[in-house]
Amino acid sequence: MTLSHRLTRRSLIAAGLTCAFRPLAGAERTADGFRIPQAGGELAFPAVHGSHPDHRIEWWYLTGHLFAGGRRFGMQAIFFRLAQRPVLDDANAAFGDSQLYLAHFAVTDVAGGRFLHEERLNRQGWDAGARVGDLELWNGNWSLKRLSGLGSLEDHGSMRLMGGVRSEAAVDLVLETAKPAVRFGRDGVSRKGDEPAAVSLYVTFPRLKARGLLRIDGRDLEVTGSLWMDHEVSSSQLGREQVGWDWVSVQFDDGRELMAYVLRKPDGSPDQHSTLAWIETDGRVAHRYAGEFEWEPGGIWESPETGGRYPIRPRFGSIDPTSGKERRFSLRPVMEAQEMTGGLGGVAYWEGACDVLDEAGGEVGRAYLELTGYTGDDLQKRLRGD
Amino acid sequence: MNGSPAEARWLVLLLRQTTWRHWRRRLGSTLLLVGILAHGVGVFLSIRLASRAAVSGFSLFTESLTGESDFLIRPVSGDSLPEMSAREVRQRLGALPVAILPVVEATAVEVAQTLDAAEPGPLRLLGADLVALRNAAGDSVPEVSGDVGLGRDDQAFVSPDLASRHGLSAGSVFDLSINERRVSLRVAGVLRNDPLRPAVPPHLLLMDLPGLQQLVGRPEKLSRLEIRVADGIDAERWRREARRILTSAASDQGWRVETPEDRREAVAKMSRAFRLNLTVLSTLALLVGVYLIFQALEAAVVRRRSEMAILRSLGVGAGTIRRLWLLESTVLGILGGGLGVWIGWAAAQVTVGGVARTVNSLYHDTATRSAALHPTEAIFGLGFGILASLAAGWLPARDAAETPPAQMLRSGSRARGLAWLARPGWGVVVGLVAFAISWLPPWRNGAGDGLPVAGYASAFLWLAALSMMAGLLFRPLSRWLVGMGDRYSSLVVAGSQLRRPTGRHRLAVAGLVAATGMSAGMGVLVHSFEGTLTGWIGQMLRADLYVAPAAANQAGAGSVLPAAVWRSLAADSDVAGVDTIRRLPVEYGGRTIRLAGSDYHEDAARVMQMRWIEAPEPGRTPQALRAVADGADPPAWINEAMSRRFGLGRGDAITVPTPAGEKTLSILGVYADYSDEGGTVLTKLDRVTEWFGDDGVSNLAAYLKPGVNAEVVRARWQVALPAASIRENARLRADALRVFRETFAVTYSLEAIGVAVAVIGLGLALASLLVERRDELATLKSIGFTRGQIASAAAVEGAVLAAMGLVAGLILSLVLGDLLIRVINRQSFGWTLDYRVPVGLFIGLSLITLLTSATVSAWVGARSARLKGDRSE
Amino acid sequence: MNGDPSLPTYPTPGEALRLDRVTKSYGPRRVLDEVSFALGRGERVALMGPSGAGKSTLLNCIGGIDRPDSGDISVAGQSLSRLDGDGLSRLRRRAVTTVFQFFHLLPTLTAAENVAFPLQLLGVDRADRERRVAELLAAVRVDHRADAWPDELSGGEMQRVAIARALAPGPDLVLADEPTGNLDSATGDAILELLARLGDELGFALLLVTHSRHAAGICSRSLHLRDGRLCEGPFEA
Repeated sequence: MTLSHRLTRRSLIAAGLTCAFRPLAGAERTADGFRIPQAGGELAFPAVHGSHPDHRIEWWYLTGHLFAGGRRFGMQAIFFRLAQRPVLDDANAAFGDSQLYLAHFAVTDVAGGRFLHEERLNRQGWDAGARVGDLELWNGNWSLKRLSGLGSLEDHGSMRLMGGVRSEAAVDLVLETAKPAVRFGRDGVSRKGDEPAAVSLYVTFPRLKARGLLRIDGRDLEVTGSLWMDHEVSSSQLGREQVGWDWVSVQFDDGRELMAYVLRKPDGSPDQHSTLAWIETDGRVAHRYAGEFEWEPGGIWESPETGGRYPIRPRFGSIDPTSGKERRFSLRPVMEAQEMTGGLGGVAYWEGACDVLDEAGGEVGRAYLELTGYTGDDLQKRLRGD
Repeated sequence: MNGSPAEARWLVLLLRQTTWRHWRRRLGSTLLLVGILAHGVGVFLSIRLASRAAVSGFSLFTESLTGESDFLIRPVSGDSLPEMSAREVRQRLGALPVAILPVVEATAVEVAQTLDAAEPGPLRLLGADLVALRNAAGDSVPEVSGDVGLGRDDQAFVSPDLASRHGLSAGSVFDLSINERRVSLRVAGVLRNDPLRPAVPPHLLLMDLPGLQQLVGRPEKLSRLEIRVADGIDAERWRREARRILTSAASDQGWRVETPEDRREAVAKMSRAFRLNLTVLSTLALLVGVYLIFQALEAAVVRRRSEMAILRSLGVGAGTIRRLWLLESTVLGILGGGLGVWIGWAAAQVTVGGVARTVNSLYHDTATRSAALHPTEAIFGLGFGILASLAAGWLPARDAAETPPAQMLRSGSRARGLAWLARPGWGVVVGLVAFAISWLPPWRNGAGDGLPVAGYASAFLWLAALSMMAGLLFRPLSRWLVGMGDRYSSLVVAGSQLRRPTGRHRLAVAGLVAATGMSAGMGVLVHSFEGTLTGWIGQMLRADLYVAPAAANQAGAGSVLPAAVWRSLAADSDVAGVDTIRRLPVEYGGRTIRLAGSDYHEDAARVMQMRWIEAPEPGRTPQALRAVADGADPPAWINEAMSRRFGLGRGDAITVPTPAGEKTLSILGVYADYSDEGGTVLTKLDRVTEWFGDDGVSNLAAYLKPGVNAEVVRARWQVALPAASIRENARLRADALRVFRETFAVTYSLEAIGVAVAVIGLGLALASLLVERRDELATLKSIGFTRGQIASAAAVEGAVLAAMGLVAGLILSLVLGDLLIRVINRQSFGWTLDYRVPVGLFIGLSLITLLTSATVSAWVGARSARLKGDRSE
Repeated sequence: MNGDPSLPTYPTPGEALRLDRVTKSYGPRRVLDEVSFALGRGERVALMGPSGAGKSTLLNCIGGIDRPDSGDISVAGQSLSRLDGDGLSRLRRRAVTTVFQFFHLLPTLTAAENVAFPLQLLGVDRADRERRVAELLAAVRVDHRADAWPDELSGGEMQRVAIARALAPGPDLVLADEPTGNLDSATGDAILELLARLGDELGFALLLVTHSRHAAGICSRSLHLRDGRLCEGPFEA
């Protein structure tokens, strides 16, 4: 689960593209005709990695850590697809209007203390799109494309990510699967709210080995590193009683991963659909639902730009499925100022690279933390604006 | 003493105690002086500002929304790019951080009452991707949605100016005519002016790109691509890289890659000759201003001669006096220049409309309706005013400094004037040199633009030559006058003055020569132009009705009559036949020319009626051509501008780019064309239609069947095509001449100024002469000469000076007219004109000049008769 | 002369003017023929002679406006032949001043300003200047017309102002060229009397060009110029 949900809403509103969110109970489609992900559905490969234009909302969400010699970087590349109608009937038009494509790119330069970011919105057409049937996305000069493999969740494969931030930074990375892909949720769907339609198909590559070039400060750096990629498809993710969420992806040094999201209710308490998931070295997933894990916000950082107050140093804990023991972790951001200030989308959020510390304070992995809904009631207003 | 603090103190002292007090006492004359200078600077500056504005008015409308692009990609031929070019560019640029903004542009005409029908200016429709535009322009671009703007062909955002003029707001509906189709658009919103960005152009309508494509019926076509490299540390590197990639792909793709700077230059280049001519004309306005100031300062020196003498006797050095006068000139220059800058700016607001119209009709689209006062232009104008004033003050300052101390001052000591004017014989030599250099070829820059440098130099030398030669008339005229004196003593007095002319006499005549020569020379040019044009229009315009798309009075605008429209007109039962022509811009030799197609080639009789610079050989008649095998090069005619600019002529071949590849045409002849100075290649319409895949036409001329009333047909057509320009033959002729007259309107005002300056200058000169001769006047009075007789003697003297100036000035005008027509216009515009002398204008000019000169002189004489013998005031 | 801007002082002892064999020709005509004479400090001498005798030329040479062909002129011990144009201008500013027949007041300046003008050229500061102008206008008895424009003054008043202006810089020598020639006899007498009185008081030398024996009466001796030659002598009755 990511903040993209809100951004989606924001973007829809920004573009004035309001739509009804009332699904029909138990239906396969929403009232306005978008498909609802169904439990237990079979997946087709590599089509599942490509675009699903009969669903309203879809995103490919890459975050991770890159290293060049002693230098460390965080990076984030997000491709959204926002359908305006349930059919892609203008696939060949240069200036279509069935889909909008929003994208974000960010690079955290730890040594330089800089957080570079850019966002853009394009329409279905000559300069932005997402292929149906295979993984190929493009938005201006940013792109993500499957190179090989990925015939199943377990299949090994590779893809290429190109992009950058204005003329300040550029990346060209080959990503190789270091572990099988996983599918979160019960029966293959991830539920985000009580409404029947508030479910998503949530497929993740928890560990992608990255290799390639990062150009920054006018110099090309050979980088290696490790990325996390979410791909989530839905037609309505909005829980009515949710004001924001905290989300984290952790890659432990021992080869395991952890993903958690906490959906916050107006009184600050976690929603029952909040989830934590352990991913074993062999790719098996152990889910922990609300009540089965702890999440403790902490370490407020106040944004000088938006005034948002973000708890950027949360602590969380859960029973380790391997050892059966209670484990507790804390996050330590590599930099405080990793806020997407939302010039185009209009909604700000914090998304940044962190180190993961265990109870003893030792580094046990790296994480990406996402914090949304912290810039006052702006987000709520927009959410209820329709 | 030179430059010492003491001298600076004296200058201030003298300025305060003498100059300033004179100015205050003679406030009227001082203001007149400042006014004259201000007028000169004002005319000069206004024309510069207006022509600058007319050129800079060409700007890409999108700039006001997004700021400046790094590159533009335009088609090398025709006026559209295929839509897929955008994707092609993105693929070639790969991952370079570059925003590519496709743009469609179109023109429309306001119709109906919703919009102000009194001023139906063309509207500019700009189609851009309103989603992507926000990435570059942020909130200055309105938000769109499926209901508001996005993909809509029935909605547009309007400029704040348009909204306020017509009371439009979101939801208002207004009517336009686009491609002869009347459409209603709903206002999706009003664009906002952002203080940090250029103002939204006043006639702008912004639409979502696919909506506009649909509206104007040009699906999958773009006008251009704007390319902007993202900011950042690597921006310059990516810019170079992008340019390299795009340029290397350009020839394969039929692209032309330009920077906005290239584009502005190209546009400025197109109309440079026109603007240069305007600038030279406006410089003349400043020159006559200089002449008047010179005369006025001379007169002041003469008036204040005894004061200078006293100062000298009190120990003020000659150098100090000279500097005092130069300082006075400088102060006048600052005052006049400053006022002139303001006048120039104000006048430019008026002038710019005319200049813009001319530039529009001759060269390119300009949206300019107002001229900004550029700081450098203001400084330039002020500096020019000061320089002009200093130049005008140079001789008077010298004269003042040569004043002896009071002990030596004799009443009647006279200014030397310009030594070279006293040598009329040398005038002949200068004239010969002037004649010789007029035959030098123009200076040409790389793009083939001719600058008639030698022509202008020759003109100025002729001015000098005839000013000098005018002096040859003093002796015979004075002899004749004195001879007539048996009956009229005034004539003897006047004649005796001219028998030994002073430097002042010679200067007065030279001024008259310059002023009348310029005025009449301009008259020769305009008259010749008008005569030639009238004849040409008569030959060219033989059809009964002329139909052009709305907003087609802009050169280069892509508006056409769609095939359906013009074919239906051609098929009208009242029509006997039609001529059609299609013009399209193509790149040739580094500049934009026009490739035109018509069916004129088909009719031998009409072909031979055209005005030919190089006529087709009789053997190469159209009938013969039609027999030429299909493989041969298609025939073409080129216009005179094309021929002169590129050195092409009959028998040459020319290769032009088209969307269907490069085409080689064989040139059969060169025709006169006074509607275009950029260059046109005219070939067969069917070829152009085929190459460009577009069967619209730019104009249609219809010949009606005998007995059909053109006005009835016109009215009928106008109902069907409400916004089209449909004109009857007579109306079109009148309109063509009106455009021409507007173009030359500025020259008429210069003519009027010329005459006024000549007469005022003469009056001032005569006033100075009479002040210098006040002792003589006293003597004349003491021996019984009446005031009336003194006045009539002065009138005769003035009239004779005016006559001398007129004779030489009219000769000068014939020479200048010849230079303008034979050398300057041909070299800079590529237009051959017939030489015609405006006899009526010459007679009128002479009569007005002589009469006003005599009147002014008599008035000056009568006033001078009241002067006391020896007091200066 | 130096450019010392301090208040001028009246002459020191010695010769005010010396001419030594001054000769000047215009074309073939010899206008001055070896003219030599001297004026002591404070001495008043009349220069007489018929029209065309060379009086004006002689005055112009002494005033540094014209230069002799040969011979030397010294004013207050300073030889004019060694001065350039600027030097001669400085001479006119301070050492030798002129009173004209036609007054030659600057038309744009008031009476007081006309008198102050030479002092301004010399850089005298305002307070001293105003005091000096007031003294001079009082001395020539036109202090009641100090603020009048020249064209508001009578002939006599104009000449008084012109005299005050000539005396303002504290000259060694005043050249007066027919100062009464344009005035009626009563006014002329008053002007002559004024010149004599001020000469006595202030001690400048005066070279008075005149046709009138009556006028020459204020002088201690007279010089007669005829055909460019000088013959000194007592008045002939």
